[in-house]
Amino acid sequence: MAIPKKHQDEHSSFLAYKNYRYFKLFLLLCIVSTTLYVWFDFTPARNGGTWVGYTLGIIGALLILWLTFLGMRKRWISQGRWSLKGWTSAHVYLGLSLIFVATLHTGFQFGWNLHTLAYALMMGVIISGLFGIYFYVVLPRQMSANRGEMSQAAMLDEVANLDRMLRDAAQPLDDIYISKVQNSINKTKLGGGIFKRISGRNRKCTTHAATRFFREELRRADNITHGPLLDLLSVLERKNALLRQIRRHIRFRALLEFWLYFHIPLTFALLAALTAHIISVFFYS
Amino acid sequence: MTIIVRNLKTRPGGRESVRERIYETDVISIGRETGNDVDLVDLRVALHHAKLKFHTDGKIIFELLAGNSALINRRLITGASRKLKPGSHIRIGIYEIRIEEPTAPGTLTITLQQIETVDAAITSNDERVVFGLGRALPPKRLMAWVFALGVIGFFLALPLWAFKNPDSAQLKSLPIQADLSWNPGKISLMHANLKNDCKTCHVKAFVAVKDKTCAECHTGLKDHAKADQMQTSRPHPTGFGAKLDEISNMFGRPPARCASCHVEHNSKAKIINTSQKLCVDCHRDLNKNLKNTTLANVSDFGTDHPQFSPSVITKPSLTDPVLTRMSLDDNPQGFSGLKFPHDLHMDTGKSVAKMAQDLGQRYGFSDGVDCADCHRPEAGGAMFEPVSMQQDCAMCHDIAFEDDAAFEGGDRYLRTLRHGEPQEVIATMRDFYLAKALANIRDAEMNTSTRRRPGSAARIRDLNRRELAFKQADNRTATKVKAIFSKGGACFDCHVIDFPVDPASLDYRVRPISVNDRFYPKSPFEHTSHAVGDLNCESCHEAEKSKLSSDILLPKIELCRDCHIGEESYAKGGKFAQGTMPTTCLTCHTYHGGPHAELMGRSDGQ
Repeated sequence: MAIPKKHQDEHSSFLAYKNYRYFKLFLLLCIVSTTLYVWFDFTPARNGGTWVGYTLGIIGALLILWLTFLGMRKRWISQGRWSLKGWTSAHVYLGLSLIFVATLHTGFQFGWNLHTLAYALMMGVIISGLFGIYFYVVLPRQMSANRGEMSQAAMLDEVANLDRMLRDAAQPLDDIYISKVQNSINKTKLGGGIFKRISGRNRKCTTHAATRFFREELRRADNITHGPLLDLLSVLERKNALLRQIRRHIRFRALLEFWLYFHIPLTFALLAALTAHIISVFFYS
Repeated sequence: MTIIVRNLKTRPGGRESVRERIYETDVISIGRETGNDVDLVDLRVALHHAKLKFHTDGKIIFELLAGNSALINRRLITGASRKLKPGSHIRIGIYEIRIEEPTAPGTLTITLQQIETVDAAITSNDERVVFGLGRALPPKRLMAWVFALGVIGFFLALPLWAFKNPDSAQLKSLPIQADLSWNPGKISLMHANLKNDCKTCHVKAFVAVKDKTCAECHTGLKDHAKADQMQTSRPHPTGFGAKLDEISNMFGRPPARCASCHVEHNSKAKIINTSQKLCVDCHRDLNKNLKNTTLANVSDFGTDHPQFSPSVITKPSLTDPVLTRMSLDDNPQGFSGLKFPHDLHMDTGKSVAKMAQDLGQRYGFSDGVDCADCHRPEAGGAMFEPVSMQQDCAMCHDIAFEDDAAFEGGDRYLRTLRHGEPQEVIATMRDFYLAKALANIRDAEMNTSTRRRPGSAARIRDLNRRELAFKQADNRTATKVKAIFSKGGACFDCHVIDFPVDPASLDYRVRPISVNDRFYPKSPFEHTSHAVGDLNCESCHEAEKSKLSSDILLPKIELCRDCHIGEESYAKGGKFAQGTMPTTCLTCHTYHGGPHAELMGRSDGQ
C-alpha cells in the first residue's frame, strides 16, 4: 500500500527531507561557487579581495548568520513548511555548502592570522556538525533498541528497586559477604566524566565486581549458604545487566550531546571572528 | 527477669504503632539474623552484633561482640562491654535501643525504634545528573561567551585600540604587535621594513590605500603615460563590468591605482606583478581606444606581438647619429659609415682565415676569425664591448704606408700611420716624403768625389735639383695620400672617403662612423641568460652570410618564439624551452621610469 506523501515526509530522515530539497540546494551552491571561482581569473591571484571573492564572502557570511539562527529557531515548535525537520535539513546541507563557499572565498590563502582563524573556526563548527549528523542518523535506532520501552527515570527507579532487593537478599548472609553487597548498593557510579560516559563502561563498577565475586562464591557454597547466595546473585545479575543498559544509554546520550559542546561555543567564536574579519579587512582596506 | 521489648514503628501518615514482645530471660541477643531476640534489618548490623545482659542486682551490661560497633550515649564503642543505666540509648545502624526507667521490680522495658530510613543510592531524581552532560562539561553558554569575547578582545578590540593609541606605553610593552593578526598575508620583501607599522600605508581607517601615500616614498617614478591618454586607452567596461567598477569606486578603489597592479600581502604574487594581463587589458586593442597611436596592438609575445623594430643608424655621426626604427620584416639597412663584410672575415677558406692562422700563435686565433675574436662581452655579460681598431683590427689591418727599404739608404723601418686622425695621417706622409727629398739633396751636395767648376751654371743646377726634389716630394705625397684614401688603400678598405675637389689640397675626409651598440635602447637584451644548451652566436645572428656592414644581424621575433612563448599559450599548457617563466611584457619592457617608460608610454604620439 502506498504511503501518502505527507506521511512519507513525517517519517523520512531529515537528510531526505522533501525529496532531498536542500541537498539539491547544496549541490547548486557548490556548483555556482566553484563555477564562479574557476570561470573568472584574477591577477595576481584569486582570493577574497576580488569581486568573486567578495560575492562568495557575502554569501558565506549570510549563510553563517542564517545557520546560527537555527539555534533560536529550534526552541519554537511548528510544523509543515517551516517545520523543525525542514530547518534541520536546510541547516545541515547549507552548512556543508560553506565548505565550498568559504574555502573558495579564501582562494586557498592561509596564514597565521585572524582571517584563517575565522576559517578554521568555521571548519571546526562544520566538522563537529558532521559528527552531529552522523550520530543523529545512526544512534536513535540503537538507542531505542537498547532502551526498549523504559524511560530514563524508570531505569533509575529500577536500580533503586534492585538495591532494595539486594538489601533484603543480603540480610541472612554471613558478615563477610556484606561489604561486597554494600559496595554494590552504595558505591555504584553512573555517569561521571565525559570520557567515562562515552566509553559506555566502568571497569571499576562495584556491582560488576560483586557479581563476579558471588558467582565464584556460589560455586564453592555449601548446602546451607547456597540458597541465600543464589537469591542474592540473581538480583546482582539483574542489576549488572541493568547498569550495562544504562551505561549504553549514557553513552548514546553523551554522543548525541558532546559534539554540541564544540558546535555551539565554536559557532559563537566564529561569529566573533567573522565580525572582526569583516571589520579588519575594511578597516585596513 | 522479665524483659519487655517495645517495637515502636511509625506508619506512613505519622501514626505510631507499638508491638511488644515479652522475654523471661537475662540475656537479649541483638543482630541481623532473624534468630536474635532483637533482629535489626540493616546490613550494617552483624548477624550476631551484641548482647544485653541483665543482672539480678539491676546491673545492665551491653556487650558488643568482637569487631562490632555501636554508639552508646553518642559515644562510639567497638568490641567492648559497657554498663548501662535506665535512660541510656544505644545506636546500631538505623536503629536506636533505649533502656526505659523500670516501672516494676524484675521488669525492664527496652524500646526499639528505627530512627533513620535507608535511602536509595540512586533514584529517578538523579536523572539529569546521570544522563545529562551538564555536570561533565563546562556549560556551553559559558564557553560560547568566553570564546566569543576572547576573539573579539584579542582580534578586534586590541588592534582597534592600538590604532587609536599608537604611542601608548602599554602597546609598546606588548610581546607581539597588536594588529599582527590582521595581516592577511606576508608583506613583500621590498616593503618588509614596514611590516610592523600598518599605518604607514593604511593611513586612515576604512579608506583604501591611496596612490599619494605610495608616492610619498616612491618619488622618482614616472607615470606610464599622460593621465588623459591612460584614461582613454583603458577598456571601458559596460553592463556588469561597469557596475563592478562603480562599486569598486564606492569603496575608494578606482581602477588603475598603484595597488591595482602592486598587490601587497599576497603570498602568491610578487609586489612587481609580471603578468601580461595588466598590460594587455589596454594594449590588446590600444588603437581602438587611443586613436592616432603609433604603437601596435599587442596581446601576447608568442602569438600577437609586432615584429621587432630596432633603432638603426641611418646617418652616422660622431656626436649625433640619426637613428630610425625599422621593422626587421622590411630588411632594414643601417649605415654606420664602416665597411665590414662579416662573411669574408668568417669564411674559413679565405685570405682572412689564412692570415689569422699565420698570426694565430701571436694573437690566439684558431683556424680563422670567430665572433669572440672581436666581440668581447662587457662586464656583467649582458652586452659587448665596442669593437676597437687598435684592439680588434690592427693586428691584421696595420696602416703601414711605406716600407723605408724602398728608398736608397733607408733606415728600413716600416712607417705606420696613426688611426683615427686623417689630417695627421696626411701631415705625417707629407713630412716623410719631404724628409726624403731633403735627404736626397743633402746626399747630392756632400758628394765631393768629382770636381766641379764653380760658377752660375753649377748654382743653377743645384737650385734646379732642390726644386725638383721638393716637387717630387709633393707629387709623391699627393699620389701616396690619394692611394691610401682610394680603393685598395688602407683607409678606403674600411671607411667612406670624401675626396677633395682640388686633389692638390689633399683635403681627404673620412666620413664619421657610429656603430650601433644598442639596437633596442629601451629593451636591453641580456646575452648571459641566453647561454643555454647548444646556443651560440650563429644561432641567432646570421653573420657568416652577411656581405655588407649595413646588414642588421638581429634575429626576428619568429626565432625568439622557438624558445619563448607568451603567458596565454603558457596558461593553455604550452611549453617553453628553458627557464621556469613564460615570456611576458616585463621580460623586455618596464612600466615606470626605466629606459622603456618612454617607449611604452610615448605621450607625444610618436
